[in-house]
Amino acid sequence: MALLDRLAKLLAEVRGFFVSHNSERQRSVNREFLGSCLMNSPKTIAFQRSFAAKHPEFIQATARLQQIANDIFADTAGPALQEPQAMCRCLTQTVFNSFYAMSLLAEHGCGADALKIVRSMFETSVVLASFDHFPELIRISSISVGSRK
Amino acid sequence: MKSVKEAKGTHREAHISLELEQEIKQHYDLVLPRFADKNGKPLSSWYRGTFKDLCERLDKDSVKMPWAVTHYSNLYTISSGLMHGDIIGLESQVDTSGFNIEAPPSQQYISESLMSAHWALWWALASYASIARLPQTQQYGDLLMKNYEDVWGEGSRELEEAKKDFAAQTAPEPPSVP
Repeated sequence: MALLDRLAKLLAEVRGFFVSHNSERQRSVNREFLGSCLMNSPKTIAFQRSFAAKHPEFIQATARLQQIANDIFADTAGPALQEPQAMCRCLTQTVFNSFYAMSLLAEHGCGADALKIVRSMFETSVVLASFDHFPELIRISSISVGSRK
Repeated sequence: MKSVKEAKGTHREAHISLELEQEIKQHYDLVLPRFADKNGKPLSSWYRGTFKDLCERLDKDSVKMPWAVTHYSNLYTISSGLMHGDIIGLESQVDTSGFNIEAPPSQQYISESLMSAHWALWWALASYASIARLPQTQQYGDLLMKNYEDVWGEGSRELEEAKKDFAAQTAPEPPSVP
């Protein structure tokens, strides 16, 4: 019995060693790959600095833009939102989120992939503008989804 | 209705009671004729026709400031190529060697992305403010326009830099000396 206990203890120690060793190694590999190789590479950091120096007006405008967007989404002065309007609110928020994602990519020098995101932003903004110009496209009922006030 | 059906058997099913499902079905049946194709199946987009048709229709109604078709021509073709990996998309990403795709970090398409994204967000927010009937819609529109013009307006530094970047990207390579 004592021998079995000792054997089980030994096995547990060996298993524990491998688990901790492997996870440690895995973590370090991931950190090295995602951290050092990509996001924190000297080349990327240098690019981020050059981005800040090259686009100061855009960076400043983005801060103001975020404030305007927050004001619009928080504005409760109008009538209660109907279902189509609530859907448009969500569509607009996806464009806002994509703007954030596009900024991250652009800041890290991934312009081609940023442009792929911009394509979907453009498509959604055209759809929203069309709903504004041609409300018959989405006027489906007069059911309210609740007051925003 | 598709998402309601797909929720069956998942954790989302618990959030959709029988009453709610019936209410959704009732509304769905109400609007289906408006969004159905000639075979009675729901359209895959919000509009009939092509996206270009929608841009043209929008511009016809925006006499003061048409923008959709211009942006469609400038942005949509190239970004569509990038997205789908067609020959325009590949050609647009090739580096100066002609044999490799430009690797990040790179200045390629940065200014175009910033400018077009800024424009798209302006119009999305302004359109939503109008759709939601916000009393300050006009003020929001003016603020958003100024916000864009401050960065990318005619004669602005960012726009001039973007023009230089674009010229550099599209300039032909000097012939190599043997």
